[in-house]
Amino acid sequence: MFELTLIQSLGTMIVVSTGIVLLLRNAYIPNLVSYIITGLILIPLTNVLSQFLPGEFTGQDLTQLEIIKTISEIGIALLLFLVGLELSLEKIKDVGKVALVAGIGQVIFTAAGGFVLSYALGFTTIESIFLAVSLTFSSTVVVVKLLDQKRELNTLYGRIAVGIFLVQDLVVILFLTILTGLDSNSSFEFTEVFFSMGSAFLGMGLLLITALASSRYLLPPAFNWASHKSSEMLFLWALCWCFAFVILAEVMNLSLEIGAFLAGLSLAQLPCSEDLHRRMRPLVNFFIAIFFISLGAQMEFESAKEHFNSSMILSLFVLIGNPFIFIWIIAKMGYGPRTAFLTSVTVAQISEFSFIFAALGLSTGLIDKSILSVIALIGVLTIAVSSYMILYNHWLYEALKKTGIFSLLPEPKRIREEKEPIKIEKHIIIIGINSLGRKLISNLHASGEKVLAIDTDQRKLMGLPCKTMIGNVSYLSVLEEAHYDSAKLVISTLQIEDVNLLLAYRCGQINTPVAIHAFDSSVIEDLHSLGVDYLITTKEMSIYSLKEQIILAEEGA
Amino acid sequence: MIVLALLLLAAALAHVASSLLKISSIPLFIISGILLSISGVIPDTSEVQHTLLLGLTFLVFIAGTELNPERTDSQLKTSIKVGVLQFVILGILSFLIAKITGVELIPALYLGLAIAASSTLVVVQILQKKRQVYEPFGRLVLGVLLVQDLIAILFISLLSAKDFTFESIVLNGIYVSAIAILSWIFQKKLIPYIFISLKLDEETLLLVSLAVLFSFTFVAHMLGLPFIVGAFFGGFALSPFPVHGIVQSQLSSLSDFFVAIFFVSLGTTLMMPSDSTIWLSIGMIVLVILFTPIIVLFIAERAGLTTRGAFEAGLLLAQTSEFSLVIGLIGFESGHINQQLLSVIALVTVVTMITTPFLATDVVTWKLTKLRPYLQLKPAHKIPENHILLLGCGSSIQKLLTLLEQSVLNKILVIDNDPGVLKKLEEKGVQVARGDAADFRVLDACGAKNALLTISTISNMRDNEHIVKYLSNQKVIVRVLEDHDAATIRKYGGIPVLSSHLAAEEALRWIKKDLPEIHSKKQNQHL
Repeated sequence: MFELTLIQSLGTMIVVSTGIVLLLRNAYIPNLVSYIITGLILIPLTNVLSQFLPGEFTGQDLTQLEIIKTISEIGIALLLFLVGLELSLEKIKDVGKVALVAGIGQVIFTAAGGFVLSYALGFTTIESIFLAVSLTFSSTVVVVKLLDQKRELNTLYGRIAVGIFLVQDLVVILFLTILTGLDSNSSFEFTEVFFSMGSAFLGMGLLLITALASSRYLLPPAFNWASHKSSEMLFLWALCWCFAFVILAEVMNLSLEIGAFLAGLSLAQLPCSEDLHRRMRPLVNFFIAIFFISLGAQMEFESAKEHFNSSMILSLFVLIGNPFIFIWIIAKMGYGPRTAFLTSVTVAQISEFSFIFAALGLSTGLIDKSILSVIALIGVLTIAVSSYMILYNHWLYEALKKTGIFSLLPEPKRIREEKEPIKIEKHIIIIGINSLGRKLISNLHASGEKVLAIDTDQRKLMGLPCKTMIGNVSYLSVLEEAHYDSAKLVISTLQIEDVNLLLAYRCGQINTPVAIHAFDSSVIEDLHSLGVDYLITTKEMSIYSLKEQIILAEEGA
Repeated sequence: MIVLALLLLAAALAHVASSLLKISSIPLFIISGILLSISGVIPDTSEVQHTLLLGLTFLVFIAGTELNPERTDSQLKTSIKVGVLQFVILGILSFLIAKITGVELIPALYLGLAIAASSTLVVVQILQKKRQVYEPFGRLVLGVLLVQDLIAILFISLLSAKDFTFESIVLNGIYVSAIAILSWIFQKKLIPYIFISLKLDEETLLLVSLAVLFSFTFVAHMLGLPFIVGAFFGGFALSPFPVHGIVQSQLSSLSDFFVAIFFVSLGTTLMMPSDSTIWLSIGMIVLVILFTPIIVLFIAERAGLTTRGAFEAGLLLAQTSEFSLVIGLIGFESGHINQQLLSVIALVTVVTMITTPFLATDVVTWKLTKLRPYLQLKPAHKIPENHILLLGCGSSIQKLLTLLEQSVLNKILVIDNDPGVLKKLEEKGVQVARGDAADFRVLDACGAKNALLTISTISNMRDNEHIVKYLSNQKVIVRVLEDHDAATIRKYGGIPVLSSHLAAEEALRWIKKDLPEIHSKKQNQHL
């Protein structure tokens, strides 16, 4: 029979986490916190449950499986690919300077602060070094996941945050190269470390050039061709491109995050990138859930008891001290208090890399298990609390603004601040560009209506006088981006029964008027029962014209 | 990660080939997998096994989510009749062939089961491309496929019975009914509450769907059934509207990903059939391609489809299914069939899936239809003249007839293939002929060349083109939806009536006159 352990472990993870998500959703707990909680209780829970279930299967198996690790890695790669897709090089360049300064500045200040604090709390020098480094890095995966969930990756603060994480990622690579240099042989050779650092930078440069060159010459014709053929092909090509870069990055000793991010970035300027982004998201959500759950399952707090108070103090340092350092650097560089605050909130947690780093320290014997537990405790606490802070960052900003605390920030001459996005309303959305759609668009546009045309095929959208959007309206996110809730009317001219029914249902849910193409008499009844406001009965509308023709012919005879 | 990247690369290339060669991507996925394993670049097999397993689970789960009888509209009964009969007859024939060539009883049962089912993935793709999903025969074919998926799952459950004792088979039958009932209860009670009333975000919706999938596989596992039986009924719990629509967009990315790498990784595990089994494979291929259309023709014609519709359905169904591969894999994994027979099933599936798009064409359908003795048209006493000929009589044309005066109605002759409609028209005194209006023999018999006016409301544009060309000196009106179709009709001398423009004008009037009031009313409700 099949080796069913994989189905069992994945299934247990998904079923338990679903239960916890549904249980905790009234407490506004972010999904990723629920995933980590799942991980924490999973092993004890399955050990109890396995006594009642058939098969020899213990909780330990869940995280020990090699494939679960691979799935977690795929999750991270896909998530960073998603981030790249959302941002183009232009948008990144824009925030390059602030990301570099803030990223490096924060690393120095936090590391120094963390070291002093740990040392003062009574840890040894080596322990303090490990703690300081672990506190320094924030979790790209956590932040990016939340920003994507909030659809705020592409805001000014979102872009700065992503830039900072990239800088941090490069610093991490440097650290890891030094650490493996330390680890591999006792005689620490500077030339060797220098050499591998050089090759990392060279590799980064090479990857960047490959990404840039292909985004200019290779990808536009290839992906435009694929997008006309089938959306499935486009999707598979994009995945291939992502993994090709991940493997390239691994070959060059870079992180898979950087590889995946650059792969996404090189596709970002294509017209199909938004559509790809939407199609990619469910896949990411699935894989990344497994990542968070297994992250939680690896945590171990047993030995943290003796350092409980120190752990709390260090957590507070990450939650409050870190943003404080940041907000000051960013404001100093000419960004308004709003952007500075929102960006700085994103760094208030430690990273999954901190655990890897600490585990490495444990394996080399430099630190003992209690430090690993301290880091795990700080990790869970800061990730959980900062998830709240990020999800409710706008509310938090308004609340803090009232206290007048932001007037203490340095005031540069020119302040960069982003405007609030304007909401589109009272527009007419037309879905499906065929003869019916085109006729409606040209007439409505001519009579001064705001029209938004949506189709899955970008060629059909070319040459239309109105605003256009590529996307499949089966995805709720497409309708949300089209602001269907504030539209005057949604029209579907599609001849696809399932999509039309779903659209009618969704518009009915939010009381937006909807008109649907009833292309065949067999679909009319269902559409009526969904409360569609107007049925475009193309076949019936022709009978009056046909009647005239018949009478004309009859009279002629 | 490298294995996954290679599988994806193979899938992506297979997709390019499928697009260039205009055949379904599934057989090409499998072939690219075979090439991948021949080239020897796949380093370790445990990851391949894992993708195979996950892919299998998702494939069957997604098939379960499609199992909604409402999609077949009015064709449900016919679908069940055709689906079951085709399955049973083909199954028995292929079982007998396998037995004759010396295959043991249980492997022959597996083979029969695998050969009997037709492929949902291949057929739906073709139907969508040809825009025939909503035609009566399209709905029939969809229904047939749903029925066959269900039968396949039932048989998989029964075949997994321990030692094949009578009691264990009955017990498995009871278990599978239990899981089906559980799924049905879920579908009616719990699922609508979670998916609709709770108003979850997209991420949580996906999570809950997957939790349903895995819970059902656990239940199946506990009952001693194959886990994919659970996956299928987990999908079935999510099949009704609007839950299916809400989760479908979330699940489609996952299924695109997993299903593609499933077929590729399946390809990597196959081996070439030996000389002895190659003849068995060829026999099965001939059986599927030649006999399916004949079997379906006889059943579907008796169930009320036109000869042509029945042929079209039969040609479309002449391939084995992705479920055949599932059956093969399950049989192989449980030790009931050997690697050779799995390869036979895969080979038959690959070949028949490749041939389908070349056989299920208008040209082949027409040639076959002409071979069939001319049965359906009632012989007319006299070929009519100076009449008004209506080709096709759907609900809109029936409404048109109610608008005409009796003197005009007397001059009308309607050609359609729905006996129910024709009977109603005859009662009103309209002349009717039953047959395929695109068949020139039918047109001649109805005096099309002497008609005052011919109006076609057939939706197949290829047919309309032929009709306009055939009646080139006549006045022929064709109802069309698209601008470019109107241009084609005009080019061949016909008169197009562009229904989309007429409907658009009416819709624009409604937008101007009635929409403002509806909009403000709904806005108030919203507040």
